Amino acid sequence: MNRAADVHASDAREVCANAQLFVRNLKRSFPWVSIWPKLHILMHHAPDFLDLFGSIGLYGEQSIEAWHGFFTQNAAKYAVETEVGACANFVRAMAVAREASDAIFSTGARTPAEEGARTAKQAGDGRRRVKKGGPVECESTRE
Amino acid sequence: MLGEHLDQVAQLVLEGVVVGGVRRAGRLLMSGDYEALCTVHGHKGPNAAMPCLMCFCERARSRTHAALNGIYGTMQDVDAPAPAHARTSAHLVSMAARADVPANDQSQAALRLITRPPLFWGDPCQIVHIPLHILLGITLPLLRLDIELVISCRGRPVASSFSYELVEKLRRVVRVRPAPYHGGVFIGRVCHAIAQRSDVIFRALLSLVAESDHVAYKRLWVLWRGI
Repeated sequence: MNRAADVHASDAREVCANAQLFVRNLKRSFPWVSIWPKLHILMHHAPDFLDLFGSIGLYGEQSIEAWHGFFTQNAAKYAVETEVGACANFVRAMAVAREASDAIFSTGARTPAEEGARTAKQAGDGRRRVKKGGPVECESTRE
Repeated sequence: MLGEHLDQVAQLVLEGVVVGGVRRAGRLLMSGDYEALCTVHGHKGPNAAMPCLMCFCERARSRTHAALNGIYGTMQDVDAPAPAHARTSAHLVSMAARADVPANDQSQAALRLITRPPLFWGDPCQIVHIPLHILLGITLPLLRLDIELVISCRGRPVASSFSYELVEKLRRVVRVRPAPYHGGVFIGRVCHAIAQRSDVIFRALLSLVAESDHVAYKRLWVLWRGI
């Protein structure tokens, strides 16, 4: 349910069925438990939203919070007389630059090393003593 | 604070955004915590008799609201089909209009818990169901249910020591700890970790509650993990 991606119809049906079963089981097994609003939303409205928009996680507040952080970092570049106007400018610029993707949030990510780049090729490459050509005598204990 | 931006947001929804010379439509999806959504929609609050922002479902059966219970149903009727009486933008518009011309009818049936003029009157089906808060709002009551089961089967002193034991197991075995914000509770991935390692909770509960309760509780966690 929390996945920030379009949910496949079969997955959506499974989630909805599980949600209904979960709430009904809870009420049948423990009748003294009162159904609270979040359970009601999970049972009745989350499936409708999933049907209508294809995802819940995509429209959740977590992605908006991430966008908010990114906007705050770059607000000075898109400043106009109103903040909503600045937001619109920001979204427009992101859409034009084709940067409106998750990739912009992974700042400073290191690219992985090529395959085999870190394997020892020569006798002295490894850090273990066996790879450095026999035992090493500690200088401090030598008398 | 939101009032300052209302006109601009309304304009953005009405006119859309121009991207690369092409005008694109804007859709307003309301998201936020329950309290904030209630404020925006002029709703009385999550503890009101009709707490749902999407439908007119009542919290529980009561003698004073017997007529409304009959029409809209209650949240406790889990075997009933989906609520037939969804909230509509037309109702929000009419509630906003009442701010200018106060109507005589102040009954529960007329207001339906919209006690202040709504700031927006978008379609309530576009309210996003705050997945993060649902995660917190269900994982934590499930843990609480665990303690309540021990209270009902063994009494308060045993439940008290069991609760400490449970916290210790969550800390040492599941390796989770509460966040120092959000009221000092388990949040986000920690809730997922608890659901994944819920077997730790069942094992701790095994000798303390009846077999049928234990099986039912275990089934709840398995289903919750699937959601």
